Order: sequence, then C-alpha cells, then structure tokens
Amino acid sequence: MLLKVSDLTKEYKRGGKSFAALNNVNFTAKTGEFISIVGCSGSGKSTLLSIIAGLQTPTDGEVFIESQPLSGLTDKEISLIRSTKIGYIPQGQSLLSNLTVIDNVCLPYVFTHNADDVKKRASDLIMQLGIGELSNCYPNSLSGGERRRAVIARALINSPKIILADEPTSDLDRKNTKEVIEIFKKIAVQGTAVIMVTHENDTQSYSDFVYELSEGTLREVFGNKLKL
Amino acid sequence: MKELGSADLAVKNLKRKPFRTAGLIILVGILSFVLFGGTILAVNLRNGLNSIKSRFGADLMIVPLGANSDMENILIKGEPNYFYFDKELANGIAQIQGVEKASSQFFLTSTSQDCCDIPVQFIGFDPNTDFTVQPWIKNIYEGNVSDGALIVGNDITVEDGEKLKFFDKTYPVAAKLEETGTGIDQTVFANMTTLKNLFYAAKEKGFSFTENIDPDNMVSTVLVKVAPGFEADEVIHNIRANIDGLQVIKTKNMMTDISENLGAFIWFLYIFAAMLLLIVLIVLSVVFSITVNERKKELSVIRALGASKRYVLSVIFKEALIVSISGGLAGTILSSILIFPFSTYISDSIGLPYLQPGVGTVILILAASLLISIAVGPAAAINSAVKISKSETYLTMREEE
Repeated sequence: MLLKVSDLTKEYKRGGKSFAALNNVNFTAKTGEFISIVGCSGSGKSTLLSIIAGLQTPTDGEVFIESQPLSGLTDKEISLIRSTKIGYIPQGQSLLSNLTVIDNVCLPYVFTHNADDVKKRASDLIMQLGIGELSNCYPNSLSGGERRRAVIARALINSPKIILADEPTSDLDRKNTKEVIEIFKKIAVQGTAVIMVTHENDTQSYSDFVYELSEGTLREVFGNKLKL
Repeated sequence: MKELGSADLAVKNLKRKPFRTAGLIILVGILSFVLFGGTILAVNLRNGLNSIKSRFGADLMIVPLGANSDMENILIKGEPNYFYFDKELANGIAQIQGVEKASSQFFLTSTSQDCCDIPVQFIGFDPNTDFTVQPWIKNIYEGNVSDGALIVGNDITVEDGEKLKFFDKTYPVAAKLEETGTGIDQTVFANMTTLKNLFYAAKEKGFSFTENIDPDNMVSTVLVKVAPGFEADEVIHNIRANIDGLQVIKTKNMMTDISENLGAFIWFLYIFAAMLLLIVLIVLSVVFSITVNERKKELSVIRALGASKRYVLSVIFKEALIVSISGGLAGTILSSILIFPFSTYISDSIGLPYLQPGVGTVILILAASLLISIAVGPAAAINSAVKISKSETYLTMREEE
C-alpha cells in the first residue's frame, strides 16, 4: 500500500476548548489513483493533507507511507520522505517571489540532490505543462493558471510517488480549473497517486475516489474503480 | 546551469532588499572599522608608551625655566626646538647628593631651506658621561660614534653609509635607529664635537638662532640618574637647593601624564566599541526578526517542499553570515587603508607616542576583529532562527493566507 491513513484524529484548542478537526479518519491510496477529498471550508481537508505530509503530528492515529509509519521519525527523516516521496502543493500562491520559475521548480531538488540533471528535468516539466517560455520569468509576472502549472512542475521535480494538492483550483477560472485537473489526471495515469482536496464538486468525473470530509469525519461518496 | 543551494537562496533573499542589505553591511562595516582601527590605534599607543619608557634611562631632566613643554614636544611629538642654559650650572649637578650620573646634551635644529636636506632635531651627547643614548645605540651600532658621524632616527629616510647635508656641509650616516613611535624617530644624534661643528656651520650661514649662543659654554639639558637609596623627589629638592633658574622634569611624572591621557583614550575607544557592538547586535536582531517575519510563509513553503528545519536555519544563518562577512571585510579593509599608510599623520595628530606592532600582532588583531564582526550576524539571527524553528509549518502557512 502506497499510503494508509489509519484512525487519524487531530484536535485543536480554541478558546480553551478542544475540538476535533479530524475524527477517526481512515483511507488508503494506491499507485496511480486520483483521489478527491471534498468538503466545505473548515472541514479539516487541509489539516488532513498536512498530517499526511508530516507537517503536523496527529493527536491520534497513524500515517503510513509505503508501510513506513511517520510517527517516531525525526524532522530530518520526515523532511526526506516529504522531498523524495511527496509532491506537496500548498494552498494559494506558494512560489518564491525572488526566484525565477525554473529556480522555483528546482527548489525541492536542493533538499535531496537525487537528480543528476535537475535543470534539464525542470525545463522538460515546464515544457510539458505548457509554460516553457516562462522559464526565466518571476512569479509576479505570471497569471494564476501559469503559477499553478509552475507549482505542479515543482511538485513533480523529484518524481514523487504521491502528490498532495491543497485546493489547487481555488483561485482559478473554469477553463484553468479544468486544465489543472486534467494535468493531475494525466499525472495519476502515469503512476503517481494524486490526493487533491477541494471544495468544488465537479471533480468526480476525473477521480477514482471521492471522499467527503465533514466536521472531521471522512466518508466515501464515489468510487470509480469500485464501480468498474 | 548552476544549481540552487541554500547559500544561493540566501544571496537571492538579500538581493531582494538591496537597500536593507547594504544598510546592514554598512553597519557591520562600521563595527569592524572601529574594532580593528581602534584596537590597532590603542596597541600602537601602548607600544609607543612602552617604547618611550624603555628608552628613557634618565630619572630627571633639567632644562631652563619654562622649557619643560618644549622638552616634552621634542621627545614625544618630534617638534624640533632648542633652548640653552649656562654650562656652569650644569657642571655642579653631578656633585649634588643623590645624583648617580649626570650628562649634558646640546640641542639644535636644521631648517627647511636649501642648505639642509631635511628639517630635524639634533641632540648632541657627551660620550664620556652619556648613559642614555649610547647604551641604546649599541643595539645597532658597535663602537663609538666618531666625530662628524650621525645616528639618525627611524623616520629619517636615509640608508646607512649615505650622507646628509646640513648647513651646506655633508655628514655620513653611521646608523639608523630602530622605530620608537616617538619624536626620537625624527631626531639626529651626534657627539658634542659634531654638534658644535653643525652649530658653527649654521652660524657661518648667518642663522639668527645662533646669535648669543656659545656651544662651548652652554647646554640644553642635563639628564640625571638618581643614585640607589634616594628618591627622585629628594634629589629634585637637593638640586633646587643648590641651583637656581632651572626646571627639573621628573621623567616618571611625564610618563604618568602620557599614560593617563592614553588610558583615558583607550577606555573611550573600548566603551565606544562595546556600545557600537551592542547597537549593531540590537539593530541586526530587529531587522532579521522583521525579515524572517515577512518571509514566514515562504520559509514554511520551503519546509513543505521537503526542507528540513536545519536547511531553513542554514538559509537564515547564511544570510546573516553574508552580511557580517561582507561588512567585516569592508570595515577592516577600509580601516587598514586609513590606518597604515597614514600612521605618521595619525601619530602627529594625536600627539602621543605611536608605534606600530609587528605583523604577527596585526594579524592577530585582524583575526579577532573579523571574528567578532562575523559572529555578530549569526548571533543577531539566533532569536529569529529559534522563533522560526519553533513555529508549526502548516499553521504558519495558514496564518499567512
């Protein structure tokens, strides 16, 4: 199993009282699956992704990546997993404004040094995502759709096994949203598991599984592969 | 194409705010300028004082009334001057109770006119009674200083064996003295016979300062060594009781005055440097804190992309290091450019003994100044680094949205 989320609970404290952002969440992801997690704002979607990425520790439960539990790992070990096995796409604008598109795309490489010719690979990815001519531009000169493509290229630079995309289409128009989701679908088809959280409900036709997260509880609402 | 390491990222971050970065570099530069320049200055002054202490074999100097400051200026600042009193008065000094040794000296100055190569202070000593100049000269010149030969101070640009022209007559240079950082470096020593010849040559040229002076019957100063078992003040009292119209300078007092001036100056330097260090630390710490705060989301994104805490901290510390290394080097280089080539000017302006230390000491001071300047940046960044390493990456990213 590529990813297994087991009995995951995350509690926060607000105004002295604790509340569960995630409550006993379970799901798995296999290679090449495209999973959408939908839910309204504040339902715990981003919290779930951040725990899978090792950016937060759960109050209870466990995340396994290729059967390796994340709990008990050092910051260095979790960082290594995040940079080699996970491509994380944070919510909103996350390109570094003082770096060009190609340098932004190369950034995850410098944490691991696991690519021999990173600039070549970065250029190829940028070309594949249709922004080849913007390689040496800075993020502030890019449109929302172009930035999103650059961020996707950055997430793919280390050939991750899992892509975690946090609301990747939230600030895009319909046309760009469709294009970005199609890119994710293509990535999944090529063998990378894509887990995308979104508050939009029109991703079903592309997803193998759709989960809904509501008040911290996850339930499966759609399973393409199961149907097939 | 070059790959992007944490140092490159730090450089790019610094370039993003060029004025802020330049300001921080200038600030560290000022610190290293003061640290290096100030320490070199302080060490030079201490060396100068030590040098003059070791050169002064006399406990007392007897000069005409009112000539005490002229005497100090000749010895400390190298300001050429002359004054005389009756040799008869000098002759009795050696017999006064408590005087172990007494030796007279005759002063003369050259001029900046064509008849002289350079304007200098001449000091003529009596080889038979001298106990201050000859022991020192022995370090660099064996044998007696012959008639007509000159021993020149270190600042006088002439080599051994060359000749110097004074009052249209040439004199061979027997030796050049080692540097003292005092007025002695601009002084020419010779025996009394040579000094008298110089005097008569000047008189021949018609210089007015030779009028009414008889070098055979006049002296400028008498240097006294106090006999064991006597206090300097006791001997001064004895001299004053026996001879009128002369002023007695206690060498120790002169040194104490210089030492006190120097001590105050060095304290001021150290306090100023310490305050500057504190100010630079505070300013850098505040600026780094603001910078890191501004870039919280960016640093969190780097973490989310797989950077370890260590990597993020290394970016922060490398930025601080680049600032402090650049500032440290700039300040030290500027300080060196001003201090070493202009040491004579500085020495003249300060009016205190000033002697540059050896290369080893300079390198040591350089290393220490650089080390402190370079350490300032990372030290100021510690607070910001601790804050960012304690922050939750995910929560920080959400805060900034």
